[in-house]
Amino acid sequence: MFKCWQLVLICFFIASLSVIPGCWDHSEIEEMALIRAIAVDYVEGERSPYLVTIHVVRPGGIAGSSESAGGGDSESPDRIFSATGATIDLALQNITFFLSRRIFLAHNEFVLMGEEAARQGIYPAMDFVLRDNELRLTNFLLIVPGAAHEILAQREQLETGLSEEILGMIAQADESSESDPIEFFKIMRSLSKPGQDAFAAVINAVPRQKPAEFATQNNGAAAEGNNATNTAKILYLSGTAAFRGDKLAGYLDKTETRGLLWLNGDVRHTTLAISDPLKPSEFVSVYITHSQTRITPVIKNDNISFLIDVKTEGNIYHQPSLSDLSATEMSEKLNSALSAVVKKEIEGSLQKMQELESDLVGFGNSIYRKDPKKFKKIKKQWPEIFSDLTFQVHVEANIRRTGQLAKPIPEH
Amino acid sequence: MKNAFSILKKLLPKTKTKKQEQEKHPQTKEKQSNISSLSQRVDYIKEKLGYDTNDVVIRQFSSSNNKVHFAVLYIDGMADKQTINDNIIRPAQSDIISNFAHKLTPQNALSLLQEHITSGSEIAVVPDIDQAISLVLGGDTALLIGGENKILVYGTRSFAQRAVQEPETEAAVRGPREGFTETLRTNTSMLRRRISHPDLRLESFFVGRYTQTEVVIAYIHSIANEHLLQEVRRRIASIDTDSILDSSYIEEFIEDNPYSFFPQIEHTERADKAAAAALDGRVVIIVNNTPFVLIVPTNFFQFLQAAEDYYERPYIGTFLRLLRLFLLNIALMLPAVYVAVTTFHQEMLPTALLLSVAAAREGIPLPAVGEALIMETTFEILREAGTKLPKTVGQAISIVGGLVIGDAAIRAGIVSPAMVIVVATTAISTFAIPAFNASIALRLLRFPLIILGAIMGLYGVLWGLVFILIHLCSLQSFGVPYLSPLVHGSAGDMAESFVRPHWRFMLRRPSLLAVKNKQRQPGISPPEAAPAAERELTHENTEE
Repeated sequence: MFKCWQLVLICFFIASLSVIPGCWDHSEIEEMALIRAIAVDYVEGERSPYLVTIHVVRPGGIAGSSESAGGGDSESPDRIFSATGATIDLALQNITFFLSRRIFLAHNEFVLMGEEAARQGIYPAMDFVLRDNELRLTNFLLIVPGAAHEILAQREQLETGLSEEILGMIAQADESSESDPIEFFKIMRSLSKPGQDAFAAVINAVPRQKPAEFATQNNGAAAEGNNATNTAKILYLSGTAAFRGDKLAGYLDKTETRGLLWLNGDVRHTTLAISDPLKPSEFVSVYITHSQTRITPVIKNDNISFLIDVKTEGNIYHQPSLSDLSATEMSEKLNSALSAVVKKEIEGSLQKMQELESDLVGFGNSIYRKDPKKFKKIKKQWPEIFSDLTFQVHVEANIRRTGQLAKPIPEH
Repeated sequence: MKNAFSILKKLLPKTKTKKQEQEKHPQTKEKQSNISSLSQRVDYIKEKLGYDTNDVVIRQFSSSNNKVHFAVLYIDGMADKQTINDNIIRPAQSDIISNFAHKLTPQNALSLLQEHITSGSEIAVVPDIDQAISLVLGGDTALLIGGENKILVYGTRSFAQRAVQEPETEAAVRGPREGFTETLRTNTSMLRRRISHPDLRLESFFVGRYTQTEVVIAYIHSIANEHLLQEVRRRIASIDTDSILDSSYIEEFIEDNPYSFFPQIEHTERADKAAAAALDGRVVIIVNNTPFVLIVPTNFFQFLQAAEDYYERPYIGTFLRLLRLFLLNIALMLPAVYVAVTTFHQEMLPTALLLSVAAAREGIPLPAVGEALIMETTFEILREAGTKLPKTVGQAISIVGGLVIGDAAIRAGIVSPAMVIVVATTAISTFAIPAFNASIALRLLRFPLIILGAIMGLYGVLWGLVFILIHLCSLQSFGVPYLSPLVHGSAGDMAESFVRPHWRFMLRRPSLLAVKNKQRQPGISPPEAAPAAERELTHENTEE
C-alpha cells in the first residue's frame, strides 16, 4: 500500500504532531472558572490602584445540575472575587490566589468601569480587552456612576445569574432607546476616528422601592427616586457616559441619550408622549417603529454648521382622551407634534454634548470625511468649535397606523 | 418376445453401421476398446467417494431382458428420489412403461435410454466418469450402463432450500419484498424475471478447490463495458483458494485495495437492487450458497443510497440522501468533535451550553476523552452482544445495557449525561446508514479520531479527516474512482450523489461506467392535459 519511505514519513508526521501542537493547552471544562463579568475600579492614591472584581459562575450551582437537582435551594451560582493591582491584568493575577480554577475569559460578557476608573481613562481596559486572546471584542463596556464592584454584588431577579440578568437588560434596551449599550469594537472604532468621541451605557444600582412607596410619591419617576432607608437595590440600565478622548467627561440622562440615538439613527423602538392636538392637557403616546438620520456638514469659509435630517415613523400606541384623531388634518397635527418632541430631544442632547465638549455623534468626523485638510487645521480646537456650533434640526415624523382602534369607542 | 427380437434384428444393422462409423474415428475406437466393466466402475466410484460415505447411493439393476446392467449413482438428499424412481429406474427396468425396454442391448442402450426410455428434461452424455462424479456431487444423477463407457447424467437437483423471503438487512417500506436466497438458480431466476431481455447474460465460474462453488457474473451484454467484464472475469478466474463459503470471500479476493477500511464492492440481498445495478451497466456477481450478491464497480455514495430512494417521491429520496450524508459526518466525528471542543475550544460553545456541560461534568472522575472511549466501547460491546444473541435474549441485553449506561452510570457519576447523549446520537446515526459494511468502517475510524481530538483538538480531528479523505481519493473500484461522481464525472452524476432525480430526468446511465448504451430513455415531456375543447366535449357527453 505504502512504500517504505512513505511509511517513515507518515510516522514522522504523526510523531511530530504529538510533540509540536501537543496537548499542553488542553483543559477540562470543570477545571475552569467561567468569568462572566469584570468590574474595574480605581482607588486614588494607592500603589496598586486598580481594584478588579470578577464575577464567576459556579456550574454546580446552575439549576439542573446533579448537585442542585436534589436540594432545590435557591442559592445563587454567582461568586465574586476581588484583588488590587497596578494594572488590570496584575490585579487578575492576584485574584488567582483565591481561585481553585483557571481563569477563563472567553465567556466574559461585559466590563464594568467605575466612575473613578473611567475618569482616569478607559484605555487601560480597552488595551486589556483587545490584547487578550480570550476576551472577545463583543464584550460590552458599561460605566457605573460609583463603584463598579457594587453592581456585581447585586442579586439577579429573573435570570439564573447576574450576568444573564444584565445581558437581558442590554437586549431589552432597544425597546425604550433610552440607553445604548455598545461593545468594545464600536468604542474602539469611535476612539480611532478623528473628530469623534466615545460613549458607553451607564448601569447603576438604585434602591429598590416597594409598590406602596411609589404611591407616596406624587408621580412615578420609576426607581430614580431616592429612598435612603431601603437598602435593597436593583439594577438600572439607562443614560450614557460621554467621553472626551478616553476620559469620562460627564453623563447624559435618559432623554438626552435618546436624543443621541436619534442623532446616530439608532432609535429602534421607543414610546413618546405628545400632547393631544384637541385637548392639550391630555397625552397621546406614539410607538416609534422606524427612524433614519442624515447629517450634512455645511462649510462656508470658516463658518461651519450642520443640517440634521431625521425621518421617523410610528404608530399611535395609546390615547387616554376621547378626542377623535382619525381625520386627516388631525394626523398632520399629530405628525408635527411628534416632530416637535423629537426635535426638542435632539436639541437637548446637542446642548448637553456641547456643554461637555464631547462630540459623541462624530460631527468632526463628517467634516473630516468631507474636507480632510480643513479638519486637520481645526482639529486642535475642535472641542471648542464643537461647543459653539449651530445645528439646523429638521424632523419629518409620520404616524402610520393607529393600532387596532381607529378612534375612541364612546360617541360624543 | 418375438416382436422384441424382430425389432432388435432390425436395429442390429444400424448399430453395426454405428460401430463401423465409430471405428473410423480413432479416438472413439480407443475408448471402445477399453470399456471397463460396470462393477469395475462402481468400485472406482466407491473408492473415489469413500466406501463408508453414507449419503452416496449406488443402485444396481438390470433391464427386463437382463441383457444390460445399470448402476444409478446419486447423493441422498441432493437428488429427487421420486424422479429417479419414476423416470430413470422404472422405465429402464420394466416393459410396462416403455415399449423399448425389452430391446435394450449394451450397444443400443445409450441412445435408447436417452431418446426413448428414460425421461428427464436435462440429460447430458458424459464420457468421463470423474466429470460425472462432480456433477453427481452437485445433485445430479448418473446412470452407468454396462458395456458402455459414456454415462448419462440426469438433472435431478433437489434439496432443501430456504424460501424466498423479505431481506431483513435491507427492508423497504415500498418496493419488491423479494430477497435472494442461498440457491443460485433461484437467484438467477429472480434477475431473469426482472430483465426479460436476451441481452441479460449469465456466465459461470467454479471457484474453490474443495467447495467448487459456482460463481455467476450477470450483466447486460448491450450495456456493460467490455473491459470491465474482462477485468471481472480475470479477477474471478485468478482466485485460487480452498473454499468460497460466502460472497465476502470473493469480495476480498477481487477488491482493488484489500487493506482499506472501506468496502469497495457493494453487496445486496435485494433482487431489485441487483437488477438496477445490471441496468446501470454494472456487473452482478452471484455466488452459490449465499443470498448476498456483489455489485461492481461501486462508488462511495452508493453506500448512502437505499433502493427505496427510487420508489418513493423524489423529494423524500433527496431529503433522505442529504440526511444520510449529514448522519455520516455525525457518525464519524461527533464524539471526536465533542471531546475536542470541551477540552480545547471551550470558547466555541455558547455560554449556556458550556455551563450545562460543565455542570454535568462536575465530579466526573475521567477526562472527556476517557469518558468518550469508555462509552463508545460499551456501546460496541452492547451492540455486538445484542446482534449475536437470539432476538428474545437480545431484548434483555438492550434493557440491561440501556439501564446500566443510560441511568446507573450517570447516577454513579462515572459518565456525564452530555456524553451519553453524544454517544447515543452517534450510535443512531451509524445505524441510519443503509450499508452495514460502510458504517463499520466509520465506527472503527471514530476511535482514532477521538484520540486525535483529545491530543490536538479540532486541529487533530481535521488532520484525521484529511487522512481519511486522501485515502478515499486513492481508492478505486474496478478502475472507477471511489469518490467518483464527486471527484470527476458529469454534473448530472454529481448531482445524483446528493439528489434523487425524477425518473423523467434520469436520461443517461452513470457516465463513469463507460457503458455501451448511454441513453436510458429518450427525453420525454410531461404528459399534457387533454386539450380544453376535448374536455368540454366529454363533459357535455356525460351530461347528456
